[in-house]
Amino acid sequence: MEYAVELLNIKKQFPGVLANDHITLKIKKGETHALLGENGAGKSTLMSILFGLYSSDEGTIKINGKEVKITNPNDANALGIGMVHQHFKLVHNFTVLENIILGVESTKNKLLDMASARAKVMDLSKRYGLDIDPDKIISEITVGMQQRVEILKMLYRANDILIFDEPTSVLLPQEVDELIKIIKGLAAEGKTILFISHKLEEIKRVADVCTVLRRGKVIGTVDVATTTKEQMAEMMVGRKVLLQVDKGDGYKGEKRPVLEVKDLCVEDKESGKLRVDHATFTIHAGEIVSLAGVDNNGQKQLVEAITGIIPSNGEIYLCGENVTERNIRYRNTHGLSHIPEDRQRHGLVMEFTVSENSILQEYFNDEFQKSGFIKRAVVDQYADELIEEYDIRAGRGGETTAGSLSGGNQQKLILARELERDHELVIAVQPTRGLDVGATEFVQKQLITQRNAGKAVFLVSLELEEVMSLSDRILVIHDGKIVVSDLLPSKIDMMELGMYMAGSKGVDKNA
Amino acid sequence: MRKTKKTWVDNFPDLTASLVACVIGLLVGFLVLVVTNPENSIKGFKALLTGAVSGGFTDFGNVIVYAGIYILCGLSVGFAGKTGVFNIGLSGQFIIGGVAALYVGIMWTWLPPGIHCLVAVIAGLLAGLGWSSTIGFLRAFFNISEIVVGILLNYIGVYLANMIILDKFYDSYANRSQAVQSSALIPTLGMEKIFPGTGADITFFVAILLAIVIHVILNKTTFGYEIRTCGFNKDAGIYSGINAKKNVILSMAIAGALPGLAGAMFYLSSSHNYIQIVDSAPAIPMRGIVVSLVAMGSPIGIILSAIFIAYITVSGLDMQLYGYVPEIVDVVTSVIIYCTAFVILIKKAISTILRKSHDLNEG
Repeated sequence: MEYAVELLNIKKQFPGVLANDHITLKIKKGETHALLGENGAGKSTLMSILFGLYSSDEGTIKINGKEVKITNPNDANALGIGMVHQHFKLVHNFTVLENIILGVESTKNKLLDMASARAKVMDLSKRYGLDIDPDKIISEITVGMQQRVEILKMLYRANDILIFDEPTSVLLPQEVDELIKIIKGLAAEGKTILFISHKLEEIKRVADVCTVLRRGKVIGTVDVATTTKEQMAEMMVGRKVLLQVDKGDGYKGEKRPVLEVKDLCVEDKESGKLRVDHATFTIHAGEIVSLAGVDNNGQKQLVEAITGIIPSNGEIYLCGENVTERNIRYRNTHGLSHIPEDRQRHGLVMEFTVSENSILQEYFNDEFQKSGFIKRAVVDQYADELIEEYDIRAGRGGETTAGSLSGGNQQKLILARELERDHELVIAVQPTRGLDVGATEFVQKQLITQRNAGKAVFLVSLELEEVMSLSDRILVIHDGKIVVSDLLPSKIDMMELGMYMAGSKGVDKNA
Repeated sequence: MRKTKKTWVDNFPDLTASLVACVIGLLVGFLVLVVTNPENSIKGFKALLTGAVSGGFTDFGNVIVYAGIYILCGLSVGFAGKTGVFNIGLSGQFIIGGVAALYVGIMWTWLPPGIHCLVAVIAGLLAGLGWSSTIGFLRAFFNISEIVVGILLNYIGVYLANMIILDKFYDSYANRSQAVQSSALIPTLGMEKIFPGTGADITFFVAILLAIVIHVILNKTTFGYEIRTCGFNKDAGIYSGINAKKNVILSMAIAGALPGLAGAMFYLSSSHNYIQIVDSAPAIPMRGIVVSLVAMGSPIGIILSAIFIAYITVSGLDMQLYGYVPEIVDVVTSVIIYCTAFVILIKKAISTILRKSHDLNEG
């Protein structure tokens, strides 16, 4: 059997990390081959080498049996390799059609020949069932359609080796279904497909063969149909993994309201549009309430308004006290803990040591300062306790700079700081984003511990599995409105949740 | 993660980078000497290295005088830099501080000696503080670039100083201000006998003391903690509820007080007790930018880098003995100083090399 792609003995060294450790990967013509691995396992690096974005230190690449040198994406393109990146590479103020032909424009008498380009694009669109509107501007269309535009870009360039890098991470459940249908269609037409993912469910549904990477090495290649999800997860992580979260016994105490939000509105400064539109909800002690929604539907603004970072209209009650007019510091010292979405930008000072970061929210407390002087010894001891208790792996202990910690350990540091100080409410925004399985488990377990200890947890997440497995109750936000606030994860399925998120279901109580 | 044995470089990465930067600066300076006058280059370079100590105590006294001013101005840039604000308004703060000190030193003759000097110095400090507060205020509340405001205020400062001098205490014969009353001069503690004709006084020691004070403020206090937080990562500062606006204004005020003080102490010196009327901003305080850059903003490092740059500046003059015209001397000292400014690049290079060797050891 002839191989479409052969990556032989590929090695790539980054400063401090061996991203690809002599990886050999062979992909047969016409097969859908999944590449499974955790964040940092080397999947994206390998694909970037194949697509010419990086050059490998060692190893050879063969396309259709012939050895090739790929030094940039144009080389890859000439060999028939196309790639849909996780973050799309589209020109936002161009139309769909303009984006598709960008770089390979056909001309007639030195003028753009849009008519023939359009005909070709529409033909491809019909043939592969890729529904698009060629004249819409990119910024006006849905993420799902943007992805179809990316796929059409590859097809327009007559690529027959198609790389999909984490293609479902930005999609709604319904859109995922459609994408999988499209990929199957492409495979049926004889295209060779490389599907990068860390989601077992999708790999099960779409791929024929799956190669598992861990820490830059190939762990094995398995036949997807005959391998269970549990087996693949074990290969990926290197130990047995519980795919279910154990939530333990719930909180038995009084379910008093901890956070109450009434008619909260946040106006966009430039457009004057309401980014948060009359949001009203309550979170009680001892429950995890998730805010589900498609990215950029007002989650960020809602969280920033509650934490006091941006001004808002409406009322916010923290532990029964109206804090609407209070500043960030007041809220932080009166029951609010915040695990921000961007841990490097908002959660930590990367140049500071672990020790210095551990008191970022408390340095002004008498525990850590006396008449303006920081009690260094107390701080260092406190940091050591946090390191111990939260298993923060820091090469030089409290003296390690935060920037040199791995992402998981940075998140553990933030978690330690925010959960160890006095609080009643934890707002966690995308707390497991970019973390490996071990760190994800740790973070989720901590949130559940919080809930069982009677704290209120407000979880904002784009990972629907996380929302479904952790929450006691789900709110859904769409276009700044809380469309539903009483979904129980046990009573609904992902599809239904997806419909709420897309705005096609749910009553707008305030309309 | 395995702990690797810590080397000197691991413990003092900044100091190492600064030293390497100085050596590279000197080498490039030597290269300029070789290119312009090959025969005398060795002798010239020797003069550059030893000039300030071979020429008797006068030259060394000058090093101390300049070092004191450089330390104060370097601290100013370093302190503002920790908040993430660039103080380029040194000249304006310096000259305004100087003119305020002169005003007290010349006009308020009713003050008793001792007190007179102290009041004059404080006047200079406050003038510099007020002058720079404008910058901090505009930056904090209207987000106006501190660089633009700082540069403009340098010019305004010079012309305002000239105006005050012309109006209040002008010596038309020499086209400069009148001389300061001797009761307002900075105490020398007998240093004029050791370093004759240099104006060496306690400025240098005051500067070192202040460097230590600034070091303590930055590294030991909650105020310093807030300032560094905002300087490294303003967003994290905001998330933790730090009032970033207040800190910008405060740190800019302190950053202006230092050159104001430097100006006061410079013009209240026995060898230079007047301000010449010129239409350009004084260049001496601007060296504070390089001083701080070489030391990467560290107050203790600033003491060392200020002495180094003062030393090179003074020693350089000796190269004229070997046929280097003053312009070349300027070029050489400037080249050295600006090469040392590549210190951050050097620091990065060192850490890359270190990491590679660690990887090799471990792998």
